[in-house]
Amino acid sequence: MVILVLIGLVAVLSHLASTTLEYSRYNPEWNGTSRLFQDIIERDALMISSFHELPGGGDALLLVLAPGEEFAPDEIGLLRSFLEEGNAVVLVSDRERENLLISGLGSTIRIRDSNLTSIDRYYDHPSSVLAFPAGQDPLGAGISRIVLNNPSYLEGGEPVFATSILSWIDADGDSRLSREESLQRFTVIAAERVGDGVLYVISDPSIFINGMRGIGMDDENYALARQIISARPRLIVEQGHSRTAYAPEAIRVVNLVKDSTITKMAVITLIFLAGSILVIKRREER
Amino acid sequence: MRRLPALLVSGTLILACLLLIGMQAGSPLLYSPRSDPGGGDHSNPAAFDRVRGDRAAQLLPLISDLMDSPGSLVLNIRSGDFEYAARDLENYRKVSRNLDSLVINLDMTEGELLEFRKANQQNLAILTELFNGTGRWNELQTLEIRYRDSGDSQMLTTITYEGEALRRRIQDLYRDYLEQDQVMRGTGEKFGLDTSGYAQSVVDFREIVSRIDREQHEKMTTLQTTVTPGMDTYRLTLGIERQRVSYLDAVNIEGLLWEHRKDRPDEVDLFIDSRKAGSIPTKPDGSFSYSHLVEHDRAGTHTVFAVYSGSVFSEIRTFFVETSETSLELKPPSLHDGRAGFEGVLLAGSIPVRFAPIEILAEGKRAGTAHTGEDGKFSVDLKLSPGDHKVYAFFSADTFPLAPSESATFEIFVPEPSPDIAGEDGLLANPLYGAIIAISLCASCIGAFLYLRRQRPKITPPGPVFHLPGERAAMSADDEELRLSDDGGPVAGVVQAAGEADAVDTVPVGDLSCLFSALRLAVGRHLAFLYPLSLTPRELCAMCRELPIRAAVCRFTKIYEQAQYRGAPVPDDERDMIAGAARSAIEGLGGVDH
Amino acid sequence: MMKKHLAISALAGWILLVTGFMILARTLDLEIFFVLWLIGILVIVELVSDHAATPRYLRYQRLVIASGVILFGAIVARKILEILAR
Repeated sequence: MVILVLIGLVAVLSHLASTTLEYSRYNPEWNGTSRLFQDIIERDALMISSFHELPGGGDALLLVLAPGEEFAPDEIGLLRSFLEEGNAVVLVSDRERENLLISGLGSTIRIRDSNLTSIDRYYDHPSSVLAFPAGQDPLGAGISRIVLNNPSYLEGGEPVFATSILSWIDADGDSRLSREESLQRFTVIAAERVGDGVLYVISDPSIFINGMRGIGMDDENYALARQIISARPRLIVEQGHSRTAYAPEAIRVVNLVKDSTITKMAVITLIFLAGSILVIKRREER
Repeated sequence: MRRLPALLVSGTLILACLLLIGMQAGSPLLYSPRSDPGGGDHSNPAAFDRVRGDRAAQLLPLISDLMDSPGSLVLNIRSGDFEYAARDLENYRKVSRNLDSLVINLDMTEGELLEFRKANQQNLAILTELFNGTGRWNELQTLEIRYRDSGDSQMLTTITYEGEALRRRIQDLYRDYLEQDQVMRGTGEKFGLDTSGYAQSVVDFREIVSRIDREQHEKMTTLQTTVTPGMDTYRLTLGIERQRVSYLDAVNIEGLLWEHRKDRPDEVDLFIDSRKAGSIPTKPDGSFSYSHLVEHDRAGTHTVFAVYSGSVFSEIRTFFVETSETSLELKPPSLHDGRAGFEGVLLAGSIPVRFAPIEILAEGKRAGTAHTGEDGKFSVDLKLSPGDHKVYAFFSADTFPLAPSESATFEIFVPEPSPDIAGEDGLLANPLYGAIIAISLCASCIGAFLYLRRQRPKITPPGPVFHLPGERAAMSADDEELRLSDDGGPVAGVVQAAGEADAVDTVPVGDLSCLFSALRLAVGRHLAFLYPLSLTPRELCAMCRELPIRAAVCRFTKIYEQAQYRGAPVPDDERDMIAGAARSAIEGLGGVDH
Repeated sequence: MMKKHLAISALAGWILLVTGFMILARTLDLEIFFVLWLIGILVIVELVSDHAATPRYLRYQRLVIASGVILFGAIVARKILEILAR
């Protein structure tokens, strides 16, 4: 009986501690980013909820992964000065809305949200496009290719990763090369120098979800994530606008409790206490 | 009576559960990555299969091969290495076929690659014809030497004329080859491939053309100087009314045979492209005319000459067939019985195109072929796989001087053929289906009936032998068997006298049972009841209600029941009473036979 | 354990096994399920009822099985028609 109740409790807690929201760091399913955030936490990354918390110095990399909300003009200004100090910013988004942010940072890169597909695929599905390194950027060093999942494409900037020439924009959505659709190479990761810093734009946040991580010949998507995480001495992760921070309130509470050491000790003590009371009661009954 | 509501409630619950399950049973909802492929941002990779074989990686090398193939082929033709050229051509054909199947595999039958494939197919046809044409040209060269040596001026003229047709054909081929140049090189450059091999092939092709031009020119001049003297006696002239014609135009060829004999009509053989078109009788004044309908002539220059009695040649005339634009109209496809009906018309300008092949393509792949009739109309029924299709009709034929054309694209949806509908319709339409259903239903009904009727291995019921109490003498050895045959005690009851019992307090109820069994059997027999052994005392009583012995039987069974279920030993006086009741009952039945 | 309970558990176990494999194969087919159930109940009824007597709780099973056989015939007919229609 006791064991059953314990199992139920564990199940309820683990249910409360996770979600199925897309990109959420608390989502252990295929469309969450829980595994990426494990690595990020291991790297002792600084989580910020607003650009006001951005530290000084020119040795940091800021990861803005799948923003869900727009950025206010003052925030864009803060980010721009952070970038111009010599830091790196990696913006991962497949939405054209972020072009406002990008142009506000003084970059010419633009995100174009369209149905990009290719013959060079990893899975037998039009969304599973392969991209190959282009240019000499250190971000692409040692990675032979990455697997995208329903990517957008980029204009402007220096290409870091691009699809093969056998790619096209599937405008009519029939996943076949039609007469009006022409074969072309599309940039999916671009870099541009802004001031002393570098802005990277990645046009597909889905490459960092759990389901896309373990795939590839040598885990190339994972290698790219590691490369980004360890590119600079300091790693900062934006959690104010990012969809990775999305979670119901209950999860925030549970995870807050889970993460602090004192509460952990308290919980362990409680469990032992409850256990011993039960044992004593049994003895008395006999 | 509390059981009834409980039964009702549980019955309703069970029915409700079954109903709910039944509603889902048709399309069970199981979670799988495939049923949850994700939102617009991404799809679940776990739902997809890996790409098998790196087909995409084969595409660029194939295109590269196709760019290079014409280079070495034309070079070999130019240098006269026909053995190597044949091998090159075979290889070229194979690579082209590989590209075709790969493009279909990759579902890239439209778009830029289509242009490239078309240009490539044209090139393959052109180079095949160039290969054959130059081969024939070389043959003509050797023949010419032989005829010149033997002084056969007529054959010499024939082959020189054939050479002229060949020269013009190869010139046309070169012109066509140049037309593909832009697409071929454009694609090559786009894919970052080396196009120098292809560029060289164009240069080599031009070399071949100019060499043939030069040699043919020489031949014509020598022919005029050497053979002209023989032409004085029978001069033959030829004229063509219109030099440039197009599809279904008539080429009017007129000629005059000078110095023919007036008394009998002569015949002149007319050759178009060195192939005999017909023998034409001359009119009394020596003139003749022939009308050639342009239908299956390819676009380009065609040569015409006439020969009289195998020795008098006319000069060579040419006419040029122009390519006409065509328009292909397809009506919206109709659907019936899972088949799609296609109808349309092919016109060259306003002229219907006769007997032309029309391809119907679905998703760029050939689904079927139709042929136009006399009026240019075609119709065909095709079976398409269920689902959405983009279909259009396409016309392209090398044997017509007509430009390829295609119709507008229609989207059609072919419904999934449902077996239920087919069953209901087919049941009436097709007696075979009805027969199958009837046979299998009959067979299963027979099977079910046999199963129900099936008897387990029979145990012969004991013979109805009755021994009444007091007939102990009749009790013999065979009674022992009967005793063993039923676990409830002897079937034929033998009531032992009370005094014979060993101990009064241990009077077995079996005694009474024997009596009861005997009575039961007797009554059962009297009423011809099949299974008397299954009767309870009360049932026995109930069964006798029509019989005169009812009172006695019921009295007995009542006492018997009491004695049986009370569990207490039966007093002696009561025992006598029971025996008396039983006896009177059995006697009331009029005794038992044997 | 009583024969009756044994028979019920055996049938339930068999049906669970069939369902489990069907779910694993991701094909819940009602017809196949029905046929496998029929086979199961036939075997179990034959094993449970002995030669001399049929237990009371099996009296109506024979009717259920008989109607199952008829349904099986209908399924076979349907399948044949489907194959012919192809």
